[in-house]
Amino acid sequence: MNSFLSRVFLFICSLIISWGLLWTSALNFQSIETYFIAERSEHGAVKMKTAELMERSKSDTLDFLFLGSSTCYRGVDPHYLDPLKGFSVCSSSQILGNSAYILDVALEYTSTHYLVIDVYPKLWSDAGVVNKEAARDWVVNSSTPKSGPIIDMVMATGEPYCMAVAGYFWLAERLGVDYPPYAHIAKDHYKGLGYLASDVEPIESVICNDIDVEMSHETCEILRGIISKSSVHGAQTILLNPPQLCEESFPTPDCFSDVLYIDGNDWPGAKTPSYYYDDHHLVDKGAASYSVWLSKELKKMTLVSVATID
Amino acid sequence: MYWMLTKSKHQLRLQNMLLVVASYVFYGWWDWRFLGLIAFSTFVDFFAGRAIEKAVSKSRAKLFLAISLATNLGLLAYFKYANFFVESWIEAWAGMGVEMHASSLNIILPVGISFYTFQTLSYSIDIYRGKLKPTRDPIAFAAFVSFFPQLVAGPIERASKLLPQIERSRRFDKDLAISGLRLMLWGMFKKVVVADTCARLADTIFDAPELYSGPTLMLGVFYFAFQIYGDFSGYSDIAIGTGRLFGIRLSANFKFPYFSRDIAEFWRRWHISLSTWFRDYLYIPLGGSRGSQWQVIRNVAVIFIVSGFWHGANWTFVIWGAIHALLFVPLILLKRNRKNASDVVAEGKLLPSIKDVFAMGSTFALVCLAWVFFRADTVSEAINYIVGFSEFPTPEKPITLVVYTAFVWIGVLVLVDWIQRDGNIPRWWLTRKFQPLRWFTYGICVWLCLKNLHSEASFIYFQF
Repeated sequence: MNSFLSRVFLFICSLIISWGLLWTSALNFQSIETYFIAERSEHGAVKMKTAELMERSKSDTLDFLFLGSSTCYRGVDPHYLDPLKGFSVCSSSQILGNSAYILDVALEYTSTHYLVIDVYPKLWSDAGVVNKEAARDWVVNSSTPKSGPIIDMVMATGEPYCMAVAGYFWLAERLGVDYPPYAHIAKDHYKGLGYLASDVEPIESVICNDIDVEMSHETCEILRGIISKSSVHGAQTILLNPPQLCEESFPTPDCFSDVLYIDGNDWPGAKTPSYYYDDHHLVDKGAASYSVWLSKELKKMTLVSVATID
Repeated sequence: MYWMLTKSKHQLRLQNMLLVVASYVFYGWWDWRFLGLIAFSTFVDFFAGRAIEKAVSKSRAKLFLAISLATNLGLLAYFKYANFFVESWIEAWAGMGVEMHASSLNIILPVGISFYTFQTLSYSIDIYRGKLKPTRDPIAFAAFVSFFPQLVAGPIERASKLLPQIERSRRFDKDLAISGLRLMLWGMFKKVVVADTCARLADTIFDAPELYSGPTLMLGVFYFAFQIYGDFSGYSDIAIGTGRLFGIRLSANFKFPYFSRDIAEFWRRWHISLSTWFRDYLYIPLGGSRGSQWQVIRNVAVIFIVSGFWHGANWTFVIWGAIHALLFVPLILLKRNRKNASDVVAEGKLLPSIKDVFAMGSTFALVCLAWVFFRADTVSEAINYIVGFSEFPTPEKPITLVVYTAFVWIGVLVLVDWIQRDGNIPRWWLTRKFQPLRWFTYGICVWLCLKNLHSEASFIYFQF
């Protein structure tokens, strides 16, 4: 038994050496990094939006900071908030569990009067409190240092591979290895302030099925945590349900009470298929129209903060 | 913990108790409510086995065997087939214009029921046939029925092979444990890297076949063929490897099936524990290869159709079994079903001959054709899928989803299988000289497994 255990120990040592060799190769050749570690991607434009965020002066307080998933970065164009200032750190599959950490990342570079959280109901049923894909997206593609809240988010996923990737990109950052995104996404155009325009062909119609979702108690607690954290930083939270061609039914979560709420489905274009490229992602034209409407709603709400969900 | 018990005076009993507890925790993790089912099946077969042995007459022994068969097959029929029969009954009446309504039974299929039921059945039948003495140790028997590495997806072990190992004192065997770990890693690679990569592509194509032209549809079946092979043989390897860590040798379930030169050889290499089960407990009692050619054909048809039905309560599986039966019949008529029974393709050679390549390729193509029915949700979907093979690519439907990474992993699988297929080839890569290279390769395999690991990707055969 002892000789077996010593063999296992030797194997673990060889595992570390072989991974070290793999990482060294990946740090020198992007194709090895892409195939064996992770593919750097423009999907969601996390690299560009975080680079832009880092260039901001922290004293230049935002009026609105947006958190959420792809419905947010494809639908909300903060340019339309002018003369008010907005910025979106939304990213793919960013559920509330991820937003809690990404808020910390954003607050290292900026401050805000209002925090707008895109609460896309379909993602409430996502398995796990922290989405692994979203965490990996930030580890691989974010321009911000791979430390602090990003590492905390990775650890919260509990996924060994995500942790190993975080270790690799932490090392790559320390060694100054920064490859360009591996694959260019032709139909996406980053327009600044975290908004990503989509030129994908809009759909003509959609068939909707009844979908019932419910926010778990755990997720509700995370939302409460985000709200209290933003209030500590002097920001008020607004919840935003993005527009969808097919709406989900859900009982109002407890954590929504006494929080400002905007339902994107009240936007007059919410049920116009030509504004979408699937049942919930807006094309550039749809995003422009929605952002104009949302901008008015936000301005109205923040001047007279009375509308709550109930 | 398990091997620390070897120091105890009651080593065997404690180790077996630990195996039972571990197996029940493992199974209960999925759904604790079905633990009662395994416990009930264990209880009935333990006492049925002893009663069969003690029976004073043949008819009494037959009665106890019938109790065992009725219990096990009854549970299987209820949990696996009740929904199917009710729905088929309603559909049959609806076809005649009679509307019937039945509240759906919505019975949950307990994971692995088809596997452990067949395992316990073989125990009772072998005792009845006088081939096996019943155990007097209920803990050992419970460990035999529920041994967790193979509980949910096989290999389906015979009591005559597994039970004596469980009843015998076990000592730690370093070489066995190392070979087990090696097999587990290879199994993980097959499942997580090969099968799951192929699964994503196969699912994309099978979920919307109308979007693709013929070549892409063929590619979809090709991906599925390697998905199911990597998935199921990977699970078997993990199970066998885990068994070895506990000092227990489980049976091989796959022997490089895609290198088969005809369908008969394929079935000697694919899901061996199930095909030999059907051979011993169904085919031979029906008469086997004795009797007229017509009787042999009938016997073959019966085992393939029953085998298809064993896989699931759906007509697609029945047709899948029937296709294999049809492919088998010409071999019987030409008396060539034992032609490739004793050797392996290109034995003692590095590469196969042109004739072998053609034989393997045509067998693989036929197996793939049958996989369409296995993978499709309904018979009409499968037929439409096959009809789609004839559609030429167009600018609207070009050849897509040719993913090179998938081909690389499939290539690795085929290459390793090819090297391993011939037991006469010296295992030079296992020598000490190649240890650094081997361990480096293992390290990369572990990394790739971690990279591809998705918790939501289950094993296909868990559903059976």
